[in-house]
Amino acid sequence: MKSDYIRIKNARIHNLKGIDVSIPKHRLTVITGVSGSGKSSLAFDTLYEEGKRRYLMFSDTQFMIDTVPGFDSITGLSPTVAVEQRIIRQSNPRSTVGTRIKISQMLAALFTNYGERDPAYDDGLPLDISMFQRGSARGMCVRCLGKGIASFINEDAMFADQNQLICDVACGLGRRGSTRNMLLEFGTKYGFDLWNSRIGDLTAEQLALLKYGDHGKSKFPGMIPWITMLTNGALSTSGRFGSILTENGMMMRRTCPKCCGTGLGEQAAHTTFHGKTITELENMYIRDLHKFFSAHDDGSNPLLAELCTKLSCMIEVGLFHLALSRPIPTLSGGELQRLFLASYIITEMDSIIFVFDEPTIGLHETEKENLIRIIRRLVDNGNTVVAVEHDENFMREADYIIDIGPDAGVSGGRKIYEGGFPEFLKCQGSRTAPYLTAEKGFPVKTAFRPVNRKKQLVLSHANIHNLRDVSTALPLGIMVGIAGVSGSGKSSLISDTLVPKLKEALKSKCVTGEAGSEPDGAAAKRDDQVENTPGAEEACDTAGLAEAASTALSGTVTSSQSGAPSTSLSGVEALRRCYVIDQRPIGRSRTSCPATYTGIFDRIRAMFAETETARERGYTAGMFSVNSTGGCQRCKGDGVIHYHVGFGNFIDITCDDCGGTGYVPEAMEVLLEGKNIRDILEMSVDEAKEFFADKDKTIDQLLGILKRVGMGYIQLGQATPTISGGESQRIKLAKELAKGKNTKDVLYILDEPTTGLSFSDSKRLLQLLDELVQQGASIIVTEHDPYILSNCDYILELGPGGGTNGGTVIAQGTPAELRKNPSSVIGRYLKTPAGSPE
Amino acid sequence: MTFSEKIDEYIRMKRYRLINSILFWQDGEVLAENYYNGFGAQSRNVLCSVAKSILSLAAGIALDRGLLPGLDTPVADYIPAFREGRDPLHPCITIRHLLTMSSGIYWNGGIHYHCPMMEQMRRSGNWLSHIADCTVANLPGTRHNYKEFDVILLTAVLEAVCGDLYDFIDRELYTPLGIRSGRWYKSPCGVYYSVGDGKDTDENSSNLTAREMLQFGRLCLDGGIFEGQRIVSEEYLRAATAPSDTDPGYGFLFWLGDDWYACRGYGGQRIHVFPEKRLLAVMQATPSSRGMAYDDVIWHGKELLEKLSHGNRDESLSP
Repeated sequence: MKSDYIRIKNARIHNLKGIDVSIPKHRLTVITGVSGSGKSSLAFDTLYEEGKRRYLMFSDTQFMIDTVPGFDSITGLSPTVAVEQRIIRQSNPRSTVGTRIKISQMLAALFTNYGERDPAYDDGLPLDISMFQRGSARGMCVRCLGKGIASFINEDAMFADQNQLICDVACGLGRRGSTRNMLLEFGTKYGFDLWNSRIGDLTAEQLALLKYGDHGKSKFPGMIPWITMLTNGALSTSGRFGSILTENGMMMRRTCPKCCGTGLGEQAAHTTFHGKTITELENMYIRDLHKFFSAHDDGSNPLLAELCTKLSCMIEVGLFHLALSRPIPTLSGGELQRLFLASYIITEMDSIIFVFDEPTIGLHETEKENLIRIIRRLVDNGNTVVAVEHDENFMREADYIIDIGPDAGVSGGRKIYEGGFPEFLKCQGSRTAPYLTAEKGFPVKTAFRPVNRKKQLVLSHANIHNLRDVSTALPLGIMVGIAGVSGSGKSSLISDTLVPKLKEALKSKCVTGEAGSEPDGAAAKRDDQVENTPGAEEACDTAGLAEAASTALSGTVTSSQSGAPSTSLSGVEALRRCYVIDQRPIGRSRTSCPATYTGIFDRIRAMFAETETARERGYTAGMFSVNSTGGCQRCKGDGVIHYHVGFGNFIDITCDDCGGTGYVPEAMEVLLEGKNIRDILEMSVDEAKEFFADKDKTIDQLLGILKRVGMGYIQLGQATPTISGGESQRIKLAKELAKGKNTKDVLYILDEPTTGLSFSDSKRLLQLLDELVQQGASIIVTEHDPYILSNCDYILELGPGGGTNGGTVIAQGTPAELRKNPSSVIGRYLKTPAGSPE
Repeated sequence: MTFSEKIDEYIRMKRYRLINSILFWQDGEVLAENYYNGFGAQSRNVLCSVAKSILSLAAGIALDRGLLPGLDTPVADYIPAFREGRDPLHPCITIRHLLTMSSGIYWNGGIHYHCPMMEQMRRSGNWLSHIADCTVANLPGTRHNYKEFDVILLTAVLEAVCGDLYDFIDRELYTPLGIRSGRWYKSPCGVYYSVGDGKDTDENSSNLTAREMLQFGRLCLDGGIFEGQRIVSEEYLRAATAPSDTDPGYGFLFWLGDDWYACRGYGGQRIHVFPEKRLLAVMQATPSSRGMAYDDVIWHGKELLEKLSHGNRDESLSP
């Protein structure tokens, strides 16, 4: 039976209330609704999962295990692909734009087959693709481990001052914890006094011993080896002690001498294509790389033609400003989706069902228009596109709207509307439609707080990445929006210039959420961490690599320092504290979740341990943690066993041992007012707030703030990998706010905080931010959303374009001023208050 | 059923088709000597990393003779590339670190000879220089990390003090034990490497018979004396089979367990020594890409023997 619709009957997964929907084929359908209403359950967990399952079963590529379907029937399906932000987030930290879209492999193939080899390094054996992959142990430079840069200790500078006391060598290293103890012992053995001997007093032999140790006879390994170890040698890219030494000229980071900065082994490092190494090509902006290849494409090389096609697709989806070497974890959710979109455009298939998760996230208004055009082309080519989306313009472009709601969680999951856009505007039950009409609309600020020129941060000569000697002022005490198209330099200005400078000035009072930068006790911990080198090493091995890759390859090491006046920041004295709240995931462990991150889980476990049953049986709080005695042995607390079935697909089978709870049966038997620990973790913040209201003030308060930042729908136990960047950010913000500290003269730096939020949730978050400013806080928010920007007091716009076309401040002022400023790109997209004559 | 038949039955029951020989010896007596896949007493099988333990004894002999001044001697004294300041930690690496796999040199590639880091090294013109270029990721002597680099450096150190290393091993160790091996593989850049150039069908390799492996085990069991002749000092052997600082399960290129120490090679090559029981177990197998191990055969044999008192093994095992 031929049908023009995909018909889903009685969809009931998660909170869906047995709904029937029809999605027109070869059309663009938008599913909308408030956060947590069940949009994703319909689009991803029902439509996509079933489409994928049927296609894979049909093509016989893998076995599938029948799980209980969350619907009665779906008809009209064709092969389905989805681009889900939460899935992509889990990618390997070392993967880059190039490796993800497989262009790096093609480049490697190009170099393997057509590379010109330096005769001095040509061993006569054929090149191998893996030799051009710096992520592989076969390809990576063994000196810098693929980073292209290596650090060196400047021994001469460190020991030059003959008058310095031994305890003062290397910025007073000898005065610190374990180094002090080792050096005292060492000094006694070799006849010098840590506190009173000067470098000039030592004999040549003593100096050599101090520098290089006595080959294991003493615990102290020698200054140079010890410092190498403390700064984690070549593996390190950050760390406080390392930066202190660097600032004092005792440590340098230079292009790796072995691989000349390519990060590759000898043969690959000395192979070029038209004069460029593979690393140089990977560091070029995609737009420039496309030009380079086009210039050399004479039609004779199929690889080159293919590369050009792929690159042009990436330019088309607006990723021209990225380099192939850009690490995937540093991309925004929107950029990620467009990266995938590019690969689909390349394949030129039709009759595919595409399911997108807010494709407009992170896009400037001008870029959205382009994206909508591309998606429209997919549809015109005969594909079906279903998108979960909050964006107004995207909805206006849709052929069909499905609204799920009305509210989140148990109060959602119903079909509120299904049909065309014009009728949707009249839909009374929808929480979305009213914001789209002129009568109500989204609230837009009309009175802007004045700028106090005495209270502002002044950044001078910002030059990192594509910034062109930017000097600008960021007013404090108000809400400042940073606007600009992707790649215009917003992040370079805020994350890469302002934040490091604030950190330098405020030290521990600038909290960035990075490991080891907590305000209290971090410094004290440092020596202990050093003592435990083997373990700490492990973590650095991988974390360091990825981090290093991003720094090295973006060229920050040398380019920013070459002759240009150095960057400076003033006005910091007006701030007491600064919180940088970004989109990085909360917690690193698989079992971390909002409850563990915010700390309420400790209280909940303690409450369980206090119950009569638990006390009788002698259970401690550990019984209620999957990371401790309470965790199911088989699934390690996941509740499911994860099987990889090929083609990047996983199947989760409920763990038989714990029945999917992740807990041992003993833990599940203990009840807190009728709820076991798993029940609690499955509660949404809204439900939990009701449950704990009269039980624990701290929990209640924290849940209240989570609600206010728009996270009422999230489950307490939702696993970190499934939490989006925007959600992570809001949870972090809630955690900071719940500490109840005085917010006066505190600066909050946010990055697209409303990502993934519906209009009504965005509105609530905006109110909260506004209250913060009212209480004396300052907010700097990097943002694309015209509604949020329209509600800032002041906007700083970078541009005009991305990459080499950006990097300057093109406009600044209140939203009202920007609307009238012809130099502003965002200005014409900013909202006017409802009923305003403009 | 005899002990030997019991072992045979066990191997067949477990379908271990790649085992070529199994040999149990206790207190001067061979209790089982089974061959499979057309192997026999004269057949030679690859040693793989069992050669590391042989190298360890070679180092012991060099120390006994005073060719090496001591375990804490810096490697840089013997390998020029480690004297060039390529890494600030190079001066700290000692012979002891090489023997205990704790040089700290970066290694990312598991325990295979075919691992990518080895492949990159093989394609470099100069193995030692390549290893000297590798970053040192850990303070030497702080972390055990099983890797080929440390062994390759040790062969270079020994070569520097013993003359041709294979000649030295053949003269000082193999000949007194009655072992006749092929010469070890030597790289074009002059480094001896017992597992050859990574190709499984290497003629030039260090293959031994099961009986020859047994002799090596007897030497270890008897504290360095073989048929009345002192080969290596008891002091060195004791240190080599004692837990190292960085890994309680590893000595000087020997693997250690509760009541045993062993020479272990990829794919199931084993010489297991149970000093208190005066028991030796030798096993040889054809390595597969999966790197199978069949240690349960050894534990099974040992358990069987423990159930019996000396002298009436065969009778009480009868069904």
